[in-house]
Amino acid sequence: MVTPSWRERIDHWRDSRALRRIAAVVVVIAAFLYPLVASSGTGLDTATVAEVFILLALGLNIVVGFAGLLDLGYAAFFAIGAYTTALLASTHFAIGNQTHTSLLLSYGPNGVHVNFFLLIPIAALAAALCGILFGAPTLRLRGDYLAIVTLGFGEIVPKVIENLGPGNSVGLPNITNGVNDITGIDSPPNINLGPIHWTFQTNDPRPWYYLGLIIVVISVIIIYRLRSSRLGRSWVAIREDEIAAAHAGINITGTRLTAFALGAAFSGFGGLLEASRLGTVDYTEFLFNFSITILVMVILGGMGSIPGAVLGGIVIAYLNQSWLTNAAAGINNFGGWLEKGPGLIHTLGVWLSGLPLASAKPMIFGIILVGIMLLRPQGLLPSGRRARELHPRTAGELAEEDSELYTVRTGEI
Amino acid sequence: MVEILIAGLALGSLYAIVALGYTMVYGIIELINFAHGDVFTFGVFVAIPVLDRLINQSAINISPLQSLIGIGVAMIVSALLCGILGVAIERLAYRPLRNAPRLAPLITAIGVSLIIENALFQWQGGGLIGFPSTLNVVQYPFLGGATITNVQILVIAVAVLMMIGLDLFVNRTNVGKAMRAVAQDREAAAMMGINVDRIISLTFLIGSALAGAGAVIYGIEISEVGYDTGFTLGLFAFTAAVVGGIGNIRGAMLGGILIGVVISWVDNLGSGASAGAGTEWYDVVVFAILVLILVFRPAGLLGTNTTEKV
Amino acid sequence: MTENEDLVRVQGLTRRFGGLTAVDSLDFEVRAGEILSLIGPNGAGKTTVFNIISGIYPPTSGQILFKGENIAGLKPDRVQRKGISRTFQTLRLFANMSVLENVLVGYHSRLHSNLFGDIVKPPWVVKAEKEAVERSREVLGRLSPRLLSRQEFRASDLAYADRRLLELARALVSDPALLLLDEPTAGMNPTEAAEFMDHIRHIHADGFTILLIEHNLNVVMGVSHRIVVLDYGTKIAEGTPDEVRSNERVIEAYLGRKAASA
Repeated sequence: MVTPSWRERIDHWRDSRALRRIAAVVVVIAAFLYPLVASSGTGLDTATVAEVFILLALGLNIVVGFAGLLDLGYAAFFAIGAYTTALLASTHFAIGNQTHTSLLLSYGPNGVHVNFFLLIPIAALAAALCGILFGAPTLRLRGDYLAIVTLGFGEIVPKVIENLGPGNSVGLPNITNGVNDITGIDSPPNINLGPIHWTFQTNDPRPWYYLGLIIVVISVIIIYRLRSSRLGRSWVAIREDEIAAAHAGINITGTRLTAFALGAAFSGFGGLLEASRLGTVDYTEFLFNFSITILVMVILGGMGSIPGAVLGGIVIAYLNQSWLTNAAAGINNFGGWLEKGPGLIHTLGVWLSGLPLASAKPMIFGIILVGIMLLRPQGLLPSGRRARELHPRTAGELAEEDSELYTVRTGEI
Repeated sequence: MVEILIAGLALGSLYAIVALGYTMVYGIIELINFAHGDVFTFGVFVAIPVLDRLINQSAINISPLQSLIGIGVAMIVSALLCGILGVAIERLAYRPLRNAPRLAPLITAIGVSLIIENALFQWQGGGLIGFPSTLNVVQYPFLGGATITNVQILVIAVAVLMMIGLDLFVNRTNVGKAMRAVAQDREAAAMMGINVDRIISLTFLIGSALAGAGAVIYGIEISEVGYDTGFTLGLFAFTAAVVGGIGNIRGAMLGGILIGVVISWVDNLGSGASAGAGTEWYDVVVFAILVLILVFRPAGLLGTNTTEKV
Repeated sequence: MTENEDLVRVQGLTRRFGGLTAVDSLDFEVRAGEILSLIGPNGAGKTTVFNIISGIYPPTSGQILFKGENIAGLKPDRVQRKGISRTFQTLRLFANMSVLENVLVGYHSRLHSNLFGDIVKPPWVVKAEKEAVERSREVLGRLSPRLLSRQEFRASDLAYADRRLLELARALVSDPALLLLDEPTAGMNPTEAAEFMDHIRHIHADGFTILLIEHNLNVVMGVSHRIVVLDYGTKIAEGTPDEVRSNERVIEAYLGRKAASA
């Protein structure tokens, strides 16, 4: 027996279940402690955005990473989650002139107000239902057709929201408030459980952060379980070889539909969280660009990788919220400093200080997509399955066997 | 009604020209080249300075000769630059992924589209830009009291000429035959001594060059352009390609015209209380058509169904 | 089941592709417990018959009675659930899944679970999963201890003959009433092919009914109980290996053409 090389040991550790569990626990504890060390509210705000992004990335990862279906209109489900929240928990729908109140629901002239915790399944179900309605006729299509159809769906949903406002051209009552957005969306009810006292206000990001964190942790656990289940195996099998999967007894359309609906449900959660935190929804946030942003999170972290989706969500949230603006300001300032120099340096300085970097986000995302696909298609934190490598000795042995076979086979011809 | 039809025909011809690029690339490497619409926008943008120089923008009357030279040169320049861009994209972004899983080049294509679109944004800003004037618009009487403009005639004529030219090229020349061979079976074509890489490059060159030439016509007809024009146009054009039957050149023309007429018709729907209903809803209608076609006739109107070999 | 009971009865099976009739009013039956081989020159329609039985495409006309029930036109997953598994002429494995996972996918139709079970994992789901893994390992081990020792390998990293065996394991694990094997020894050298045929004999001894497409006549003659010979989509002969070997039409269709093309 040969002593294992360092590389093999590292691979072994990386694959080691115990180690991965320890790493996960450390990350979760660190995340719970983060508000204690976060210097300012803005840092925590960004972290809260990151939580929503993680939910979206986790959901899209089911569709793109596990099932191998390219969904380019994923933000539409986010919109449906957010607008479901906005319609069912805000002052938007005034009904009658008397207020009826119960534990989970109140309605009256001040609008419909469904309890936040009841909205969790409702928002997820609404998004999942839309996923099913839309996916049922189209999921039989080939992958690239599906991409374009989902893109179309992603364009249609915000358009419908825009067009169903007050005084709309199809003669319907005001449903979505159109271009005026819906404001005054409820916050979750205050939570007092033993030592925990959470009041959801705009000036204190901590309760939001913790709420989001709990939802993210639960979601991650659910998705890990799904992946190792019979359903998770079917998703991957279909992605790898549809025909072989069908002949192994897997119902292709039904299984894909489950992926689509579950992915949509997580997006619905995200929409709920976002809408109630911001207190307002605006359909222009859910356009194609945002669908692509979510796709970038998944691709960056690694298709099919759950830690990858988490990492992707965090990186893109920080990139979106602060890093990019900071970097742009830094480069522009640097240009301003160079401008004082002579000749060429001056010209370079003028160019740098005038660069509209803050608006270059799509380009940066584009570069990430192309760069990852060309250079590291498995992403930054690849899933074990996609990264799995044999230890070198066996690989060499097998290559030899294969080449022998090859000569025999070609020899026959 | 006739006017709507004519406007639809002119609009549809534009979609058809762009659809050609999608359909050719899809036919040969089974990739939705998302960047194609942005290559088209690039074509419109590069035509602007050319026309500004060749055609006297302050003149009230532009001489026909000046129009002809201006438009001709702009089309050649634009076709050339778009062609080069298309080939470069294929070489740098798609070729390395030719044997990768299907999703990889598709995702790359989206990335390339974002990069080009944002580069165009950095170059020309976010607003709509007016296209230079190129010719004196003349209206001719047409059937049933309707009128047709010389611009509309130009658009339709150019589109039809491109289509016929391409059809002849693909079906009657040796290179065209090689193209069809590569589309059918890349490996077999390679074994027959066809340089597959070169044929694929050529496909991108022709598709992009047609988009470039079409871009000038688009500018003349629509007269303004923004950095993201090509994105929506590209989606509609792709829809047209699918409606006609992807990979099918005549299908692209048919699909383009159908989509153009539908848009032009829907656009004029609604009056009184529901005024503007058509303009608000036409993209919803186009995508609904796309979904319906894909569900009920995925091979398109002129395509044939194929089954995967087991 | 007795030896002579018909497990499958194919009646008047016809499939046209455009103007081409790939299979033309074909009748044959597979008896429970036998190894029946489908042979014929290239393009005779053998794989088309498999594809129709396994549900890739419906027949233009005709019936496939499986345990007395017409299954013609059912989708592949439904056919598999009825108890018919198959392998493919060109290997179709889930390349990036492990060896064990490939076999587990084959067990899919035997596991029953829903979203609730998959997420919450109550004891009965955990137990069923454990049984699935045990059963998969058992099938792997019975076929080849080497394959079992490589259960964590990625399927695409196996040697060619092992990949063929893995595909067989995936088809076997669901305990199908009928096993369709489409040229399982294609691409193997004679030693490997002989080894593979031993596997097929063992599987048969375990009680499986097998419908086999095979090119290699020596292989077919050695292993089959009965043989159906196809040419141009129609049956030209049927019988025991000895009967088929001496059948004039078979010799003409097979050897005559081979001699002419050589």
